[in-house]
Amino acid sequence: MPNLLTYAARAIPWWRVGVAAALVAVIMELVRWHPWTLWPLEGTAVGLLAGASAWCADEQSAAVVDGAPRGLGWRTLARLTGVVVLIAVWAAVVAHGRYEMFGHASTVLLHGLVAIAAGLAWATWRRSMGEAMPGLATASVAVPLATAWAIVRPWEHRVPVFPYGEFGVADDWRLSAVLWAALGAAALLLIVYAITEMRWVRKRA
Amino acid sequence: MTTTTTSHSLYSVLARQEMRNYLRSKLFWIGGALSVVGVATSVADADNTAATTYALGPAALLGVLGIIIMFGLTRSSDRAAEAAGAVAVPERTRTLALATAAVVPGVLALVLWVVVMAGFLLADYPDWVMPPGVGTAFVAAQAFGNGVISAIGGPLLGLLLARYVPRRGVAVIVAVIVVVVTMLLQGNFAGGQPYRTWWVWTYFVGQVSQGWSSDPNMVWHISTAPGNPFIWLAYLAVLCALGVVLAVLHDPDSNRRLLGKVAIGLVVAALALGIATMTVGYTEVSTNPLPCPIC
Repeated sequence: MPNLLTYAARAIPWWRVGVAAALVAVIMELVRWHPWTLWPLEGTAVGLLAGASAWCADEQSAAVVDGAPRGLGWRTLARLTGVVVLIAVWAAVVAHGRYEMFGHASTVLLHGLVAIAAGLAWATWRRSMGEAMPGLATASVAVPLATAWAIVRPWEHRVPVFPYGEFGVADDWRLSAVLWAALGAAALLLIVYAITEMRWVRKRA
Repeated sequence: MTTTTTSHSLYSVLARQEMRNYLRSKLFWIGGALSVVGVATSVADADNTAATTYALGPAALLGVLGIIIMFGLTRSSDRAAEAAGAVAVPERTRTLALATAAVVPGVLALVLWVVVMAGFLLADYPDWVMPPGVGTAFVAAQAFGNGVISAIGGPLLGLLLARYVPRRGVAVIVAVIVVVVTMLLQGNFAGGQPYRTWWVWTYFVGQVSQGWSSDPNMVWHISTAPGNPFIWLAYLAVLCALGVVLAVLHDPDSNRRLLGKVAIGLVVAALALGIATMTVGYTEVSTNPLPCPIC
């Protein structure tokens, strides 16, 4: 256990994860303050969670660590300490602002938790394929794309990624929960696939 | 003469290369495709209000994504230069080439802007669209600033960040901060927030209620927010020029004395134009009395 925590303390980019967690808290406090105007920021926060959890999987010393006896499963377990911080922050901000979430705090909670799982799953899978710093690239795509999607909301009733409001959009929230739950299930499967290091896909040379 | 010629040809070659690199970015293609789909959907809309909302797509999908793309391109350029060992190309030449690559998203945003404005001018729009006292040029100026200049300004901000704060994750965090500040400076609070025109992404006309604040009765109107979008365009252009100068200034071998003077001149011009944006014409909120049926 001490080894696990020592590794986590050194391997996780705490500065970036800390800034992301702080930004998530600030953003959701703004959303709570003025939900009708600032709701698109919820998508930004969700994207940030995905990016920050992906950062937790980055391995600066991949060339050395990948050859060490500790497997990817052990290292991923250690890196979950960073992910737990993100989960705690998200749960806290959703609980704090639950009355200002158009009556759908549980779906909002799901958005964040699935985003965290998806970011970690994708980056861990890329790590299992030999990529050293997949979190950087993942965050660079996930954060701006989630932000842009939340602002523009393309096909908002057909693909309600980030539903908005409370009047006449109950179906959007329901469909959104289903879509995010499906993504969450896929993310969990991908994590299991990655850390068991089964080789159905050829590993990069 | 020979040095100048070599420098120019190097710049041309590098600029073309960086434009190709920008075009190869998957993030640019994702943002570009979504922008095109968004504009096409809006223009096809029977209400023809696309011109008032056009900028949302390019600013978010080309401008914000541009911060990330250009940050990555600049870091790649730096890594290639470090790997080359001896300085084959001066940093300032690479910086200018990278800045030139910002025309790639700029051209796409310009094409979309032309399409949207042509649709707005050629087709009829309902009476509830335009607030009294402003014309189509007012809407066109807002759309140009938030669309075309945002698509260029985003990558330039990414370039500036890569030059001065080349740390991992910085571009992502700054992109989020840009969006958060933007959301707070839309004129939705306290009399349309006249000071918001200092920001690079804000609106001068849009769907609002009760003078740019949430309306409990849910009756919305199209309204202006205080500020002059025409002067704001010049303000944004000066900020872009300042960004390029500051990025070039990072090179220790550049003519820092001259560039410093140019930068100070541009800061003074930006301050003057920023004040003029707030105070010259269009200082009052103008609201279309007809309610907006689709807001």
